[in-house]
Amino acid sequence: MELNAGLVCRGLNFRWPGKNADEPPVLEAVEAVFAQGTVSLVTGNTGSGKSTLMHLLAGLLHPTAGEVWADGQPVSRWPSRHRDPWRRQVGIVFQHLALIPDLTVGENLLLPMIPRPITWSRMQEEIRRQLEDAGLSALADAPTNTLSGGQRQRLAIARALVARPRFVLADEPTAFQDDHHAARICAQLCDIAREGAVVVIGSHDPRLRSFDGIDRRFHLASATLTGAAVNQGAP
Amino acid sequence: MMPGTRYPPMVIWAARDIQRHCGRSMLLFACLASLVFLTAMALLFSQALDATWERLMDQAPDLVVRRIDGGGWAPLPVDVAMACAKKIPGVIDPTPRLWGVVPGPEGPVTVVASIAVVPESMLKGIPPPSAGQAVVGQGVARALSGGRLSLGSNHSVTVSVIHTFPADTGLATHDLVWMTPDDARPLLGLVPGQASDLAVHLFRREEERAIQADLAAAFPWPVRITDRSTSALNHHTRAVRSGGIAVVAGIPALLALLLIITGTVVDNTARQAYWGLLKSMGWTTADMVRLQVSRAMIVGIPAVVLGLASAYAAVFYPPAAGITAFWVTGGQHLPALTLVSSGAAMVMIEIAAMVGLPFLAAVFLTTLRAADGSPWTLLQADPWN
Repeated sequence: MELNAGLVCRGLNFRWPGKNADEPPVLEAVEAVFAQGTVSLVTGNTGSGKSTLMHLLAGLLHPTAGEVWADGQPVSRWPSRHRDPWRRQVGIVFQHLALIPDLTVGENLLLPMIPRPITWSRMQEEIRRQLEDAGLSALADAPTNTLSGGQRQRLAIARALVARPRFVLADEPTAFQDDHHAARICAQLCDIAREGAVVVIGSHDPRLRSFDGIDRRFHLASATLTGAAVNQGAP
Repeated sequence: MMPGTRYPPMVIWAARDIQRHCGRSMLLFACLASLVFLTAMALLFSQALDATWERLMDQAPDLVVRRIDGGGWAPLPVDVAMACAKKIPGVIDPTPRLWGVVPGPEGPVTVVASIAVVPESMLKGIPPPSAGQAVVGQGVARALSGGRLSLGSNHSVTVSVIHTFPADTGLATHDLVWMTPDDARPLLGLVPGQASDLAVHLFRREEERAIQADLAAAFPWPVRITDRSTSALNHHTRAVRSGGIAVVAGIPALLALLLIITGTVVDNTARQAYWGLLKSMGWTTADMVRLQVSRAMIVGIPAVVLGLASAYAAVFYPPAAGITAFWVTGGQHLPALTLVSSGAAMVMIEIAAMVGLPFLAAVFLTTLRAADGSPWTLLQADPWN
């Protein structure tokens, strides 16, 4: 039984279905602990498997072998009827953002909140708070397809955070941002982690490598994840 | 979980989802409403027809005796006919009736001179006409010029119209002209002492078949006797037979149902990436089914209500009911139709089984199937990938 709080990968393997067995896997024997209250950065070249790792951690993909544990629970083994509701604890920022273009900014933020047992007024309050944090308050009623790339990305981050998830998985969250907004996003993710969330960022953005708020850095290359703690205060 | 906190946001989102796909939702609404209208109209009409036959059979005479000869129908000598009928045990209250079809200004009209032909419930307190006067149906009233009506071809009679039958009796009185026997006889080709037929009531209704033979043998000329059951059955059979067009209405209804189910299946399949996104944000299959069922209810319930209301109006609201009766029965004028509560309940159950269940099953099963996939696979269906 895995007792660690946070996300843990144990012997995680992943190979796309239908690929030849002699082709290299996307991930092989990945061992990692993404601890509660920390921000972890996973770097790697394009195509190295960062997004796949994020999707495995979010329970969107099944590992070929190995397991993903969340707060001591083997979530990758769970059937979908248990894993689907568990994903309410996950806020994921997709690399391709996956926003619904004909909905307004506010409505995109509403999507993860609807099935949760909270009141309509509380939902509105959370949305207002996230819009302020993302600097999008003035655009609450604007259709998403009228936003710039950077604004859309901040909206995707806000959507991942609006329901105060326990696990935040951000795939290239600063790709379309200027330095100011990139720093702001990093600070926002650090704040979430300090409140007790597990934050994992997958990125090859060089600006993030030098960001002070990162607690652990991992590097993904040749299907293998290597990494170390960089902040003393990290558990 | 706080009770009642989960459904309002889901219903609000379902309404917003409908608004997002406004054209498709309108098409679904129109198809459902049309489907319910067509099926409910046929069912309501059939139910109402049955209820009305029963009501009419209560008011109608037990037996109607008509004299026939080689040329078909022949006038009935009243005194002889009354004497013959009264000799049969069990026969009570034989009543000669004067009625027939004669040419009117805009086509044939039904002239009645003895009120026994028209059920009392349709007269609604209208005073009987005097000599030279008539009470006419709505269809005849429209053809009037200066309140006077000319009928007949060889023996023309002109009367002044003093009343019109109420609109809600239009199905039975549309082409009716009620006048005095003296005015009617020349039109019907009857001399005083002759009648069109003889209405007979029986002491025991269940003896109607047994008495028919005695009655036929009692008259000195050939007669045709129609009992209430046969009369109602003939009327009903004729209505149903000529209502072949109602069956034709079933074809668009089936096509509409097919379109609704196909649209529901295609809609859910086309939204795979949407389902994948929702699943990635913690929506469960049950949440998605709840959303889709809410959507279906928001569109479906008003559509069903509109379809039922339209069908009700088409069968029971007089102006529309006349058109429906013409369409379904091929032109018969029917008495005002009535619906009994058990009949209405049966129609509701039939509509639920014929329209509601297939629609909800299509929504439920296709959502279940679409949402059951892996969220990652579902997400790949969208252009953002």
